[in-house]
Amino acid sequence: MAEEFITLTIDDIQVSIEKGSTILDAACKQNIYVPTLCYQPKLTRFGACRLCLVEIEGFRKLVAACTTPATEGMVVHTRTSEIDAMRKTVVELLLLHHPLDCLTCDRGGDCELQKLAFNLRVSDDRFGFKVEEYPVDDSNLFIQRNFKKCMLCGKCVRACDEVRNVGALGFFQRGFSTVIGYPYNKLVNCEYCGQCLSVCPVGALISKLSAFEARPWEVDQVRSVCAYCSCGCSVILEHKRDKLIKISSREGIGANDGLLCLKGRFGYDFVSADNRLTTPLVKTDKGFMPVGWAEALEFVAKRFNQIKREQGAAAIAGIAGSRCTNEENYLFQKFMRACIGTNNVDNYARLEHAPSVTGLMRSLGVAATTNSLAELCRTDAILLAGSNITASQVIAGIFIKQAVRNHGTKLIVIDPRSMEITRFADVWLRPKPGTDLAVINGLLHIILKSGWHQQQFIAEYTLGFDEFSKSIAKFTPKRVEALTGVPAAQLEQAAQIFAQADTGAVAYGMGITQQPYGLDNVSALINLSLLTGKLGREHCGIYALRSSCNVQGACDMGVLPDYLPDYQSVAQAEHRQKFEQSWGVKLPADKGLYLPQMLIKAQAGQLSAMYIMGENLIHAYPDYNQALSALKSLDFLVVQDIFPTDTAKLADVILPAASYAEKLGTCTNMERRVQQVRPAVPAPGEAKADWEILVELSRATGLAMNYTSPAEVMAEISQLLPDYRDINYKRLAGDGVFWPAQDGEGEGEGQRYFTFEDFAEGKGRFSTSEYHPPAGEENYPFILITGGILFHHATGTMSRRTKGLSYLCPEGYIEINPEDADKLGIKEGELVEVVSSVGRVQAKAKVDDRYQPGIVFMPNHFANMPVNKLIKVKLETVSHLPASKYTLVDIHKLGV
Amino acid sequence: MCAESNKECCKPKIAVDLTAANEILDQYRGKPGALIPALQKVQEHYRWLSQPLVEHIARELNMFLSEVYGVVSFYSQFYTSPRGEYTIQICRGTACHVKGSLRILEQLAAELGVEPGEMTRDGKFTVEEVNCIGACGIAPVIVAGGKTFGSLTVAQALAAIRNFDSGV
Ligand code: SF4
Ligand code: SF4
Ligand code: SF4
Ligand code: FES
Ligand code: FES
Repeated sequence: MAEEFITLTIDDIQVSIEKGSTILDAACKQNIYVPTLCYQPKLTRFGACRLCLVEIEGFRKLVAACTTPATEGMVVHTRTSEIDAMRKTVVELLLLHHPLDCLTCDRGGDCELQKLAFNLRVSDDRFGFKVEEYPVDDSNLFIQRNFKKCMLCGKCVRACDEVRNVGALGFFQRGFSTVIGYPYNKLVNCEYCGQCLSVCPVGALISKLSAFEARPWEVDQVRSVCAYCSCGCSVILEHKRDKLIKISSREGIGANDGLLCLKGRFGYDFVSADNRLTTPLVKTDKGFMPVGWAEALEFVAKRFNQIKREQGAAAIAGIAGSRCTNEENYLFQKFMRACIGTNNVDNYARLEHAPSVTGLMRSLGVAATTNSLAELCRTDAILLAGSNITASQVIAGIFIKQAVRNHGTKLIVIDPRSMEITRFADVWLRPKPGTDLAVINGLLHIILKSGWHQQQFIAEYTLGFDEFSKSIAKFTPKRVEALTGVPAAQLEQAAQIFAQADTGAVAYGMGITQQPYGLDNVSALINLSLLTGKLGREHCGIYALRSSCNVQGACDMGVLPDYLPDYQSVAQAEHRQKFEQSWGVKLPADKGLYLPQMLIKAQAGQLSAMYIMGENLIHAYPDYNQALSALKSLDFLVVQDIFPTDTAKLADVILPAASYAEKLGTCTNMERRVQQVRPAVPAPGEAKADWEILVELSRATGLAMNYTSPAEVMAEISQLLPDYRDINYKRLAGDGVFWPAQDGEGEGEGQRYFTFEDFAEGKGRFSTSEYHPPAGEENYPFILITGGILFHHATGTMSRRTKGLSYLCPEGYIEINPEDADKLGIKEGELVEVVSSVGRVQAKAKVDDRYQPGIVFMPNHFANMPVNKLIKVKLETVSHLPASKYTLVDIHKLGV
Repeated sequence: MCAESNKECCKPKIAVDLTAANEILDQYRGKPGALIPALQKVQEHYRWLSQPLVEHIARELNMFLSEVYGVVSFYSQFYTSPRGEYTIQICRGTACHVKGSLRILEQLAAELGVEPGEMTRDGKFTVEEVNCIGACGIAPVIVAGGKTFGSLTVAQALAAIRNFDSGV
């Protein structure tokens, strides 16, 4: 449909603009400055501050440009003496109640009010009133509110409500006593995201972390990517010389479009923490001794070479962290394969999303989320399974909340836990833990039986339908209800919503993958997309909600024992040859060890050395006892990290690395968006970027990987990885590029969503599976679920070293349902002991009803509450994920 | 403990008997535009809207607390501090003022030991000032427990309240 355009005249300039635009939109289009205070592009129009008043010929009164629609032939003046006088009065009125302490205000120099007073030459307080004393509200840990400086523009209220859907702020009282703040000065629901802070035009809201650190003009800004989750938010690192002062966001850039969560916005002070590693350390009888780089690397190279000579390259293994860049992950696997000569490389993804890599490869031939995050906002139906998305991938969660609220999206949630997102669900299916597969198969059964499946689509684009349809015949709604506790009527409702929507997406998290049959769960979800024809086009995607910022990239870069970079199988000679030619060495043809196998071999004395880059393995691995004993059995362990983690303390050599704010490189977020990470401050002491360490280490081992910059590494990546072809640093200057990116030109943003042409066989493949009910055990009456919470990330290596985040949530705990707590006589805050068949851990009780009776929850971020001491993993047989989501435990009250 | 407990989905323990509120809210749940009538009805029963009540109403009507408290604090008909069993309204309109309503207000407040707007310690009365109630013919006027008393002297006003107090 062609947009209708109208033409109007503003300050003697003709402007054409889509019908329905406001005068302000038209003025902005022409870069005609109209002052505003309460206007914000993304928020509803408010029209309260009256600063944007303009004159329209033929109108008697001045009108607000931000709310008045532009009409054909309108003649507008934005600056007349009358308007200037009005604006001046408005500003004077605002200043009446505003303390003039710009000299010591954190927003001085970057404040809309200051700018207006300057432009309009408002110099004195004409009314001579005294400003009343208002207290500041300090209740928010990160944000201070100064009521005196607030102009009641309401932007913070609307941002919190309309953008975040949190509603922590409001207007209270009326008339002259109107204030903006938290209801009852109580932070109900606040997520500490700082969105309110980011829209406040004056200094009424300031960040306590960065207050008075620097004046705006002393600060330099560097655009980079958040180091926490896989949303891959664009962040602006603001630094004053060598110190990181603040992290901000900007509307219109990146995957997040101005949004950040509290980790991204306030979780940065770990970068300048006192206990960063600053020099290489070698373990001696007297503990760790600092040594120079040359000595440390010589030593590592000598030991690796010696072990390789004596026991063969297969006695060495490497594990890379998903927080390192693509370039670093690429070099890591190249180092292990080319310099050491083994395919024993794996990364953190094994522990969380191995079934996604395997499942998506098997069914579609691509190991990635199929569509972009932004598409979620306009998808008609979303099925979200096994993810506390508003805590662990906050921005994706916001997109879903916005979709429900603004697009009318129907949301179906499958999860045993009551969460923020379940409040937005049209249907919330609440299965017993471990029975998700039955629920999904139940949905598939109903869709097929009701004839809601897309026959033509299935015929054209899928394989294996007949076998599949037989395999789900058993999953009648009645039986599923008996197996899972989900009422049949709810299943019917959910199936109908999803099948009958025009567009639909499936998103799932680690609640789905980290189970003994996680691969079957993933495959069943893919079946759902195929059966309902919701794949291969815009707004119809499968989203694997990954945790860390570069899990996708680490897999893309081939830090996997069975795949070379870009999922090119090591078993296939032609794939190996391509890399052999480029790297100039012969490559091992045998599949390497998966991460859990590495640990088993190490325990058995069949693996002698390990190189761990950027992963706190003993806490990241779901079975603490096994990881600890494996690492202790090694002859030689090298750990490269930014902090002396518990894993690093077991090492023979510790190499100090640079953090994300100190290095250049790229990361790939969960929607395949390759983006640039850029340095803002220098690394502390002698710490170096992981890629530099790898280059120097390779020289010491004798087979040099000579690169002088990450851009050179990317040049090689773009040659050898078909999906990364045509990606280069020039092209990554802006919002990044979605792989596959080849377009011959090296321009454009790549491909936001996959079509069937992108899938290996040009088709999707249905899968079948056996259903296994979760196992029970008599002596352990409770099901323990472990997972993440909003305030921390992964093992907490970064977030727990951040003052604010660790203050908000300093320690682990166990959530117990009030019914169970009553029975056991446990009260809020009391210490309990949690016992499983392999270990015991103490934790404080938190009594709440997020889970049904019989289920308890513990967050897994805390080294001082190592939940993984309770877990004995079961390996998922195909993807080798060590399953850990559910463990059977018993609980005792302590001190009785 | 962990600040995640500030989430509304985590139910806090409330020390107010909510049975009556729940009965009232049952009639309004899920209906658009229900907030103000629901607040009125709940206030009728509890006399004023305490913080736990407002929080409960927000949760039950699935609204943000900021939204509900915004409405409560905006309208003067809603009370956010305790209300006595009986309200004593002292008219402060022009006619009553001329006939000495200020003295009546001061003396009544002193007798009951409260400031205007406050509730007596025994929870019996709330004293408040109002604008002209349209009975200027019999100024000065007070309304106590819904009954209007006119043409009062200070002594008569005090007597009216004392009688009231003893249950007349
Ligand atoms: S920090 Fe975020 S959630 Fe909290 S009040 Fe501000 S916008 Fe709302
Ligand atoms: S705090 Fe800032 S954004 Fe919020 S109403 Fe006041 S001036 Fe506007
Ligand atoms: S942690 Fe995730 S959601 Fe939060 S700012 Fe970083 S990338 Fe965005
Ligand atoms: S910007 Fe138009 S009235 Fe505030
Ligand atoms: S002034 Fe008191 S009734 Fe009118």
